[in-house]
Amino acid sequence: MKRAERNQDMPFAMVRVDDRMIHGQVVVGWASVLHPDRIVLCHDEIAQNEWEKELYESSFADSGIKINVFTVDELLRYIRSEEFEKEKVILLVETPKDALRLLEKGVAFGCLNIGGLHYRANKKELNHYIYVDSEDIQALVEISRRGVKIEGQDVPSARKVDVVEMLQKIL
Amino acid sequence: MHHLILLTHADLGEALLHTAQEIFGQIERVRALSSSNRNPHEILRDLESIHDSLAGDDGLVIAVDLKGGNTWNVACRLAHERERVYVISGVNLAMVLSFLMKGESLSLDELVRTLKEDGSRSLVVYEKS
Repeated sequence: MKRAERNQDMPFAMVRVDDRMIHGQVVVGWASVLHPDRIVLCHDEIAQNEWEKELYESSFADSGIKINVFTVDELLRYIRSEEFEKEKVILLVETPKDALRLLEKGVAFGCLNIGGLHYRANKKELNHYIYVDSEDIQALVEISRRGVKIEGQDVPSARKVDVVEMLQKIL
Repeated sequence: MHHLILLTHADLGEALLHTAQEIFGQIERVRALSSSNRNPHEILRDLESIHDSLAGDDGLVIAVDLKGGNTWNVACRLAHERERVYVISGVNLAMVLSFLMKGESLSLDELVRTLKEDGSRSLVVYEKS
């Protein structure tokens, strides 16, 4: 895709929050609908841990999709590269806070997919794959305030749900 | 003694366990865990507590359904941080039966190699003569 054709408000095929990060639902499920050239997990700790980075990057090595774990700085460099201009990319982060951090660093996206924030103690349930604590809520509210649409959808065949509307019911 | 955990999406592991029971009879040292709708940290905590409960020289094999899936990622994490843990992907009924038949007589290394061989060997296309 050439930069000229690319929607500046949403330069990615998808930006997704998923606590399982790179896994089957993304590489098999979403990739077969979105046909990305590359899947990028942006996660500072994993990107700097050789063993974990290798675990995620090698998992679907035979899928034909490039898979990377980048630090935020590496992601910023990649977004400014010529490669990025040509590629269709799914961008993954682990938490809403990580997504907000990208916005603060100047990574633009108009829509955020919530694909999985699973049950942990002291999290409130929005639906069976979205549970939030106060840190998640704070980040999601701020992301929405910045004009980003936040949609819950775990797999492509699932109905999209409005996460902000669901948040308002529990706040 | 070696132990087997069937760590899968949805209820595949549970179904494999039931199916193996139907063929093999009563089963010990095999359990099923589902990753569905669970936070990976919680799944890892379950695996760690199972590992903690094993005797010192027991081996643990975690058979998962999909390499690169969440089940694989979590299981590899346990294998990375603990001793005598192996992870094998592509779990199927032949692999589970192989564990039940050969699990007691083999060393952990031999057992894992055998599970891979028996699981793979069961993938056969019928050739019409």
